[in-house]
Amino acid sequence: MEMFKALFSGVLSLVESPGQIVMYLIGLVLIWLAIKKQYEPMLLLPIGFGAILVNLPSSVVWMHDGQAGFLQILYNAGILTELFPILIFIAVGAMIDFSALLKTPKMMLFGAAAQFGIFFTILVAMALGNAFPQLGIDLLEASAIGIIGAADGPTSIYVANQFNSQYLGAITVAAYSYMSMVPIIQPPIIRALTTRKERLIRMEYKDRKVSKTALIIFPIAITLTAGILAPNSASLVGSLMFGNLIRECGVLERLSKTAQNELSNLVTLLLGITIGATMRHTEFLRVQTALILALGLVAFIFDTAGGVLFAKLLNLFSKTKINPMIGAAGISAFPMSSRIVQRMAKEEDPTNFILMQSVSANVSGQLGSVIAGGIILQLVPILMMRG
Amino acid sequence: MNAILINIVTAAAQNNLAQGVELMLYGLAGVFTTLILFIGMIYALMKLLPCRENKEEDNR
Repeated sequence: MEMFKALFSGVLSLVESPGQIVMYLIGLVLIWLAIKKQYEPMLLLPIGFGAILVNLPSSVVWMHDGQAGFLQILYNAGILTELFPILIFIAVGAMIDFSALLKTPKMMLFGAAAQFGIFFTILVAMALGNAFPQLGIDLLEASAIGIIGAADGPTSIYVANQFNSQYLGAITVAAYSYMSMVPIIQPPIIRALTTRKERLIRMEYKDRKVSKTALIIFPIAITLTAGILAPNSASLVGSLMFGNLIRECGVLERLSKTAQNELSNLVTLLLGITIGATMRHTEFLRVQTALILALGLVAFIFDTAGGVLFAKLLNLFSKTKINPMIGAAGISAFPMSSRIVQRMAKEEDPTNFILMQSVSANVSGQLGSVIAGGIILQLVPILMMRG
Repeated sequence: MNAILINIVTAAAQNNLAQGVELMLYGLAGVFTTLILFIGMIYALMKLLPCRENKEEDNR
């Protein structure tokens, strides 16, 4: 009988904890979304496969004979040390062209306004934590959940990990899933908050040239300013701007291309499967996970609303009107968000071209989300100590 | 006894929410301040380092 049990221990384990089967289904759904719907395939596919792998009986990919399995080794080396999100940021920095932002710097205000969803979600999460203490959502967890609104996977991972969140897996899945669903989430909110007349607003665009020196100094100056104002954002801003400096300096083309391609692909590959490995059924199949997914959606909705409403507010005081849809591009999901805004403007008026302003707002969102992450990292411990 | 417990729980809840509101206010103020400084910095950069037409290949 013992031999029989040993032989079929895997099958018996499935019978004993059917949660593993549920996780296979969740993993398959993520893989399906990646392949069939092409929703962030580079991340959702490895996450889905990682979720299946880690929930196999005995979970040898996580722990084997008392030793860390290969996924735990990757987790300890890449997530716990925050190395993966930082490396991803170097790659992202090397991919972003900030010249559009330097031509229309005012658009940066939307990169700030569209972070509203982060803070609003923290508030909602805390209210829920108060109403249902059994959920165990304190300020740290609420902040880790709210950062989903950064619409920026690496920032979400970085902040959640710094706060030692028990929901890292769910937070990451929510962040990346909603980022891929930005084309579905944003348009109805933009339409609900704007009139057709507002969506038809044309914006003048003066194509000024940006000097190479300015493009080189920009990442250095941003790093210094952010590092001094919000020291906790230094790792994120610093790595993003380091990648950008490599891109703009003009003498490190090979490194720039490596960061944009090989580094980005390799880290994304390892990051995805490692995040998937945090989705163990014992921790993932809880009410809190569904709640986090719902709160993630709240964050994205209020990010978009924050940006649009802020643009409408500016229009009350400004002579030159801003198309309020630009505000929605202030979230960090680059470049999807700016493309959506341009597409919507074109739907209303095929000759309206607001892509450059949207791109500016969108790259500002990248900076805004990182700064928001740094500020949260700075403020939360202070509030915790006081509270 | 129950009333005291309810009072303690309510006070804790209010304190928690107050923390959330405080984080929101300071957080948004911090993000806006930093990005407004970035805007100022960009204007200064564009003013101090204008694009020179004879070096067109270097500019964007």
